[in-house]
Amino acid sequence: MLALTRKKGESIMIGDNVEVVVISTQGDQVKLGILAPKNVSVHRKEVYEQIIQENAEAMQNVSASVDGIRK
Amino acid sequence: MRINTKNFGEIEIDESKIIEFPEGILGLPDKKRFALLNKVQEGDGDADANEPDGRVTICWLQSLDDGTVSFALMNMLALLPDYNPEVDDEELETIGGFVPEESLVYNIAVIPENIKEMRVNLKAPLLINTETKRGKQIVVNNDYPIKFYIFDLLQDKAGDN
Repeated sequence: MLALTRKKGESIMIGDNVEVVVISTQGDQVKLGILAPKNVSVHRKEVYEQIIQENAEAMQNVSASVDGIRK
Repeated sequence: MRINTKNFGEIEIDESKIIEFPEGILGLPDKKRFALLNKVQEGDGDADANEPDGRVTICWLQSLDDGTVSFALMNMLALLPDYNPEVDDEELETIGGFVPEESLVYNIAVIPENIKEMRVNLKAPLLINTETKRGKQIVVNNDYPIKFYIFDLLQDKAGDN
């Protein structure tokens, strides 16, 4: 993994269109600002992964329940 | 078009009912074409929110790219008066924006074997623009649960009638 050291107010570019700015730091918390085109979705990783996991579980709806509700 | 589905057998979908999810569903970026199925296929097939008598309706979002993929959907806007998902306008550009009278909002439900564990995802509802026939799963700004357990709520609703 590439590691870059940046100071408050500085930023990095990811490709031509995505800019990540370090807004502030406090203890072990870092506040980041993200400038990205509208077609780039930005999520907290843990939220994103939980939603994907929940979608996967939603596809496993048991047939018995499905039948019961469908009829 | 005809498609063989795991949950509903072989079904016929009118081309005009196809809903495109340009970005797929989260975790399924390749599944882009879906159709809304009512539990009863009749009339014009509009998957309406909830029955006027207060019964809660579940409808289904069937993938037309993969017959094994379908989601149970519920309309939590109609069930939870305090549910007010907030979305950035620009998130909706790929589906043609949000026009209240032309939009459907659904929450994906998980219906496990133990029905008491039944839940809906309030954090990432599906928005469907019925005019452009495009939809998207949106991660809303509100701090809503991904797993919102609804068995007790549905029991209460049933008790109301």
